[in-house]
Amino acid sequence: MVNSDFPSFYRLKRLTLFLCFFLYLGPLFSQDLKSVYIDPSANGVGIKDYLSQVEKDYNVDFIFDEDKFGNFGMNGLVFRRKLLDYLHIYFDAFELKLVLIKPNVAVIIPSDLVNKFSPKNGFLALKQPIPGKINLTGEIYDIDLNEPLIGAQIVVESVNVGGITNLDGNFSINYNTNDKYNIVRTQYKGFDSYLQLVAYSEYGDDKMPRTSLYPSITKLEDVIIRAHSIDRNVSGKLTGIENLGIESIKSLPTFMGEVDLINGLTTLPGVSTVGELASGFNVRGGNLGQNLIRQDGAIIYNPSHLFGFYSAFNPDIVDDVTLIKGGGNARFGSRVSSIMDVTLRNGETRNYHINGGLGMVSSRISVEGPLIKNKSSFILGGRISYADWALDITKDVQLTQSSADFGDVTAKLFQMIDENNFISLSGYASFDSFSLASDSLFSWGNRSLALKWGHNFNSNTDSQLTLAVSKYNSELHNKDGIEGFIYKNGITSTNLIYNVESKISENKQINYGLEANYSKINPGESRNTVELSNVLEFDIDDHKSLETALFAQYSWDITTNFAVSAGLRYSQFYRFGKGLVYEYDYNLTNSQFPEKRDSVNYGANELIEFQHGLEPRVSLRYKLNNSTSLKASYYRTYQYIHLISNTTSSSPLDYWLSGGPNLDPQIGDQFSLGVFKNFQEDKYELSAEGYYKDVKNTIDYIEGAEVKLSESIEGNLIQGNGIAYGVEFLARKNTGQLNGWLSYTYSRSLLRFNSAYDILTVNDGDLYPSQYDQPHNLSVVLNYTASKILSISANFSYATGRPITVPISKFSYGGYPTVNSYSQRNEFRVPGYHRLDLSVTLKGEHPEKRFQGEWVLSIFNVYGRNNVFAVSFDEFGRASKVSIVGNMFPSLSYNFKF
Amino acid sequence: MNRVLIFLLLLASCVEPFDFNRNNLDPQLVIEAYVSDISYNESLAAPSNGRYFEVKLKWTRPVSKIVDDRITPFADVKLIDDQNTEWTYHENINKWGTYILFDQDFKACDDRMYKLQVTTQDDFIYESAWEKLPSLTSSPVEDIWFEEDDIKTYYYPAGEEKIRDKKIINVSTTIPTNPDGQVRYYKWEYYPMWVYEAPLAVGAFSPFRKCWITNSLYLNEYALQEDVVGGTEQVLFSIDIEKNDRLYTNFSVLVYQQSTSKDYFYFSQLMQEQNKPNGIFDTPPANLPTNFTCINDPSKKPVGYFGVVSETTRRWYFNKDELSYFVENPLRENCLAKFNRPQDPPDPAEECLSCLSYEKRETATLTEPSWWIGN
Repeated sequence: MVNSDFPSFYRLKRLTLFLCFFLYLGPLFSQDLKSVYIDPSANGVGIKDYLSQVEKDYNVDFIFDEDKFGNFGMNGLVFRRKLLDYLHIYFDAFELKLVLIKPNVAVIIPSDLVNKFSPKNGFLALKQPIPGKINLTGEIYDIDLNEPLIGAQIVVESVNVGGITNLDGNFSINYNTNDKYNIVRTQYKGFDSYLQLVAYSEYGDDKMPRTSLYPSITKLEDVIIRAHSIDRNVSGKLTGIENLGIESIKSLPTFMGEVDLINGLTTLPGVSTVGELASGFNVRGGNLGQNLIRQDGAIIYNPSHLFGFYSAFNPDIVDDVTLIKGGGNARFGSRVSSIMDVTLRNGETRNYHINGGLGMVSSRISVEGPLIKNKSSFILGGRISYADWALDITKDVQLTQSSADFGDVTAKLFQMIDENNFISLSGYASFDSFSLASDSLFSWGNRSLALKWGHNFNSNTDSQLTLAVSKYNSELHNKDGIEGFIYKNGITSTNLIYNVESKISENKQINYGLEANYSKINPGESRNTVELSNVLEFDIDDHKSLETALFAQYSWDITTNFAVSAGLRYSQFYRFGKGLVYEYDYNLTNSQFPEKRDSVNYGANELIEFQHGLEPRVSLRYKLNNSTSLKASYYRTYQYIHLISNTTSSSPLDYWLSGGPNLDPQIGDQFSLGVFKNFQEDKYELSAEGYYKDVKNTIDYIEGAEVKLSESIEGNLIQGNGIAYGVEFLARKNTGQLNGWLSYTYSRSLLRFNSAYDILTVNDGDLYPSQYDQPHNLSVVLNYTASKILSISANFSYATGRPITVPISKFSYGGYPTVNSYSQRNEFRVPGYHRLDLSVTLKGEHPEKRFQGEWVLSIFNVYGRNNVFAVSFDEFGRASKVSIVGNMFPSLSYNFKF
Repeated sequence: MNRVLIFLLLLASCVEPFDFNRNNLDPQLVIEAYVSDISYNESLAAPSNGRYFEVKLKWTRPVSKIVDDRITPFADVKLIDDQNTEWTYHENINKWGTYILFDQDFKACDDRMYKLQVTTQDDFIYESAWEKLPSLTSSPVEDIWFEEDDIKTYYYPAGEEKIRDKKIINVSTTIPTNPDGQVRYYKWEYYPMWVYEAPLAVGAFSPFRKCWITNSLYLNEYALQEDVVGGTEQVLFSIDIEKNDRLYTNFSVLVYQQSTSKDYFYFSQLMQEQNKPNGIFDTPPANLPTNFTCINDPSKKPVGYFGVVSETTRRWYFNKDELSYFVENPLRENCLAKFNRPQDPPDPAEECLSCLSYEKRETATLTEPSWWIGN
């Protein structure tokens, strides 16, 4: 019996040993999830518990966001079946998809996310040796040439970090994340961008496989909202930053077919415009001169073309636009309201392309391509108007005696020197001229040149050095035979900015640097064009000034949720001679203007004035969860040069003045507090941000001041306090066939000029609304992509009417039967502004063709609202509102690219 | 395409009335006054019928098309100098709200300062600041001449808008030379007078054939010039030639050339600018400065500027025969034109029969001024 049983016992023992051996080796060998089965005994077991058990039992990994679904019990199992088959069915009920990345690694994600990624190499699993710390490495190649792509961008969205490839096409990015997976975007000019889902698993690979990009099929840009990290509104540490990609701006309906950057910005909360198609923009109640506008680092002093109908930026060359509504990083300063940072795009480094467009008043064309393939490129574009000769062929007296011309040229060279260095050179020139039924010709133009050098010290530290020269001139040529004269003003500036950005650790970053800006302002000079003219000639001494600043900004993610970013900027301003500076007597009883009491004549390069100030900034961000954050901030900014404009609408004759003994720096203090919330994987954004801004030494004008053609301009200016406050709401849908945003701002912009001297006091020293006070401001932008060839956009905007001074009574005086007596300054308001625009874009149906074109039909002011552009008063004091586009205004334009 | 653009632009731009709903319940006192260094008696030598210094008082009115003044009668008006000498203005009972200084020898002296005091019926006292003659007095008006010119204008044959040239004359003077280069502030005012002859004034109407007409609303603007060099031409005013019946017989303008203070000049300049059509690049509107205050209620904001100016005068005559082209007088033909039924008796307008009924008159007199130089 024993013997007979021995074999059985022996076999059992061997079997036990065999099983024990496999039980021991089990963790060393993972199992293919496809071979795992589930049976009815699992009914009622919580899904998370079950998956966790399977992970233990089979050495597999299910990657999912714990918050996406609950630990609901499984059911419906009536027979044994493959686990994956069951899970596919199970997760369908929760609009989730299970994607097998590796045989033993699966990721469970929202269904609508799956289609974003290519089945091939679109889903990756990487090892995470230290929990929370990721080292993402890989290489990016051109699939056609099988060559590495240098300078390709890799962005880890939601974490908001990125890097670029070196000469070998390799990249390495270190970041911290508690996410189970992240979306990685790879992009390179001239190539289709590529999205990958990178999941973190102990069974993942050490590095990413090679990513090969496909050259872009020549096509016009798709209507998308944003190319940056789409959750940066939540994760970013700074407040008051708005970003618009050029694609978003192009998607907006246009006036006469011209894409307008500034018009696009005014659809964002806190940004408004003073009137219909008026040039420039107002940010949080500030005036036009309180905005600093930079294009690739060079200052653009007049951002408008053709009476302000169009902005001065060529949409074909612009990459994107960032608007900082007060302060921002300490490297920004010089203006108390905003910084508008326009980035020009680099030309394609692979193929040559020509872009163009034909509009009703102007056309544009640009050409771009490589200088050395994949290393250097150029882009050159220009616009020209043909409104002038069109005016000549009319029979209208005023129009035939009028002229209007504008044009601009933009160019950029980009050169990758090596993996750690690149340079770019951007140039811009614009001209405008117009005369409105008169013998006076207004003309103005911008010139700028910017050289930028980017340098990587190492993987954590890089720097940017920008040297830029900007020039702006405007001129009034009065051709009168008796009193003809040429009046000019302008500004030339050279600025140097050096900024170093360094990542101290995963949660600490610093940037620091210096800025120097030398400006030479010609406030005004007038030369007679006829002999023995009675017009006083004058040439106000140029204002020479040097503005320097040292800055540093430190950002620290103290915890996962709590972050602080604090900066300090110390700015100094020196004004040098030569110059005649007047001392004024304001204590007058019978004159509206101050008397010149004394004057000091400063010699060449003699120091006239030194002004300086510390500009602290601090921002706090607290993440309530991954999709919600609270932010608070304080900014102080000094502004040392001032735009002088005393006209209802922005004029090309507005000019700049340096601070000096009679002009103190404007000092802006801004507090803001906001809450930012994203929904459904950042598909929707919601934010509310309140602010309070106090500007000391803001400028207004003595009643009736004529600030043009005057040698003692400063005597006509008054300085006082500006107060602005408001709350801005933004709701945005970032993706989908229908996307767009709604922004609403309630704000006030008030001024107070209260002096011991009557002539320096406005409205009895009480607070009064500034010209830019528009309490309610609403914009709704909707884009609908009906098909690959057809898209429709709509833009509705509403704003409270701007304040205005109006005649409230009249009287006769001398020979004049009626002379008006006016209200207090800005006591009344023009009617509210609202307008609906629509556009339909019809693209070519064959994206594989080299030549691509699109027709854009825009309908401006769909319901023909007579919005007020200006208000005029007749001799009886009766008001008439002037509307520039008082009817529905359709326009057609054609854009092409090949 | 461009015709489409222009069409659309012209079609799209529009101007329409708008009401701001203004209700200014507290009217302001308007004081219009100046004195100069030419007395009434001296003004006769211009030559003219003489000019007394006047003060006009009125209240501001709500904005509307009504232009009639809301006058301020029964006020006490006094001119006071810095030696406490007072001159009292007397209200003109034929023109309420107008107060006249009947002192025929009074003129501003360069060693005195003056202020105007107005006490209204409700006992509010308004006073000007002390003012004095400008340091640079007005030089004699050297010469006055005219030049023919054409300007473009619209006309509407058969309802269609067309452009044609219109004949005008520009009347100019030479600004006195200014060798010291000091800034002078000049203002020129005009007082036109012309002869009107009623074309059908015969028989019983013959005594009413010829009148001397004045109207303060014609050529009622003024010219201003801030002068440094002098010796340059200054266009004073322009006159339409076509269908201007003021020019058919004899026409004359008395030109007052005033040298003013800088502040009075700016006051006049701002008022002039206010009356020009405003444009989008214009300076925002502003109230006129004033040198008046209400002594017993500073919250009241009077309007106006009391000026003390230095004046010189020159009379200029014009006859249409001086033009290089012929100007027809169609008055008789127009008066004889029949607009009623052929069988009815002629029905000429009253001004055809009597010059005293001339429509463009403010004053009309049958008495030729002693100084008038006829054709």
